[in-house]
Amino acid sequence: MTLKVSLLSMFLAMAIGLPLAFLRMSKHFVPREAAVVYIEVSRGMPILVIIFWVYWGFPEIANQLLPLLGIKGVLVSKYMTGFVSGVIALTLKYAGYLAEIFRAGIEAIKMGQTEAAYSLGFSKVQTMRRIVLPQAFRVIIPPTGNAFVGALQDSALVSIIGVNDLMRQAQLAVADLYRPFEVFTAVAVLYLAMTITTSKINDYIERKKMVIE
Amino acid sequence: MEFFDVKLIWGQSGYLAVGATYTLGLTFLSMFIGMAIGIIISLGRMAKNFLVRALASAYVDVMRGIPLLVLIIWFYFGFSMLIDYEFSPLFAGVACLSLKYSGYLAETFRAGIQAIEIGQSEAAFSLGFSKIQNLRRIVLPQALRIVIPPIGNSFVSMLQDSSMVMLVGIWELMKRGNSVANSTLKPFEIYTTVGIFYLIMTISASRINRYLEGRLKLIR
Repeated sequence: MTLKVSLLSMFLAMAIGLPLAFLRMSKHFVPREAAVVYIEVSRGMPILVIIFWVYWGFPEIANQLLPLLGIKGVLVSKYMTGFVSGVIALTLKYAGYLAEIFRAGIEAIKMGQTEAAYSLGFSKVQTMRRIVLPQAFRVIIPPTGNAFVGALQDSALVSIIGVNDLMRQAQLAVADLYRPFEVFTAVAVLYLAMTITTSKINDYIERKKMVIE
Repeated sequence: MEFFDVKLIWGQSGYLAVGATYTLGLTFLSMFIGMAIGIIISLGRMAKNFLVRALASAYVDVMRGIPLLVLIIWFYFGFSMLIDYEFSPLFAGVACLSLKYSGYLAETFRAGIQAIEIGQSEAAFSLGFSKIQNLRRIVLPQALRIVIPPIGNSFVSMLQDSSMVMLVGIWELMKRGNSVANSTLKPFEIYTTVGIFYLIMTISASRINRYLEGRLKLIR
């Protein structure tokens, strides 16, 4: 469950992060500043606040909003389970981080390459897809791996809103066995196994993918 | 039922602001202790002795790999049971934040110290400086410039992570927000306000950090 929550959130966060990175680099003032605000807010808010805000706040505000829009009889809290809220919250948080990672990766590709592509008759989208993104990918992978390690750790917080992840299972086990030290130590070891493995894989990819410049 | 109850937010903001000062105090204290531990660990990471180095690097891996929540619960509910001693919430919260961040800070310090060229230490030794003198007078003052920006980043993350100590019952911003949200049944308004309080702190901290970074940059 821990892996499911963090992988799903990471995937969604990437899907939001990439367009966000493009907005952030937009020439127009409004989309650019909107992206800046989103990134600053999501990076500056504690994940715990976002989780509680989504889990308890969303149903409340929706129950006030929906009647105003003429929709009645929908119980939003039914859909906002711990799992859904947890994934939404982690996605919102990590989309901000990933947008900045993507932007840094794209900006690391030298302007000359883009210009060369244009002069060869590539369109804007083609340049992005064929020239910039494949190279930016190499730059992006290591920090994305680090973000995933962060998401793995932060996903422990969804136990508070009742998702049956590793941490919550442990608390249930403690309630059963009354052996907090042993159980929580085992949990810590399990998390370590996941995070350290991920970091090691990440280091390995980083070394393999290194571009010689 | 009022839509987005502003009056309620206004009424509670004083109570939450007190919590925000606790959050700040907690963070400063834990940061300070975390830095003290971090320096020692970073020296261990660079030690000549294999065992010391391996231990220090295991410590760093463990602290960086454990979710803070797990560390807090383990420490407060598990470890205290093992040694049969009940920690105060404040002690447990500060201890866990310091331990967790000492891992990150140790790596920051190591990178900072290693960035100072070895030639400088050699010059200091040949001038008759002792090892400790060299560290104190030559290496650390220069390393400080390099480590301040990443320390600032750690500070910003710690401000956010300090919200987790609510679980042991310290009445900081998050705990207060949680209790107000439960008693008023207005979680959206309250958590939005709590979020804004955190944002004010984290964004100002990163602005100050960016300013310092600009000032400390060496022209090379």
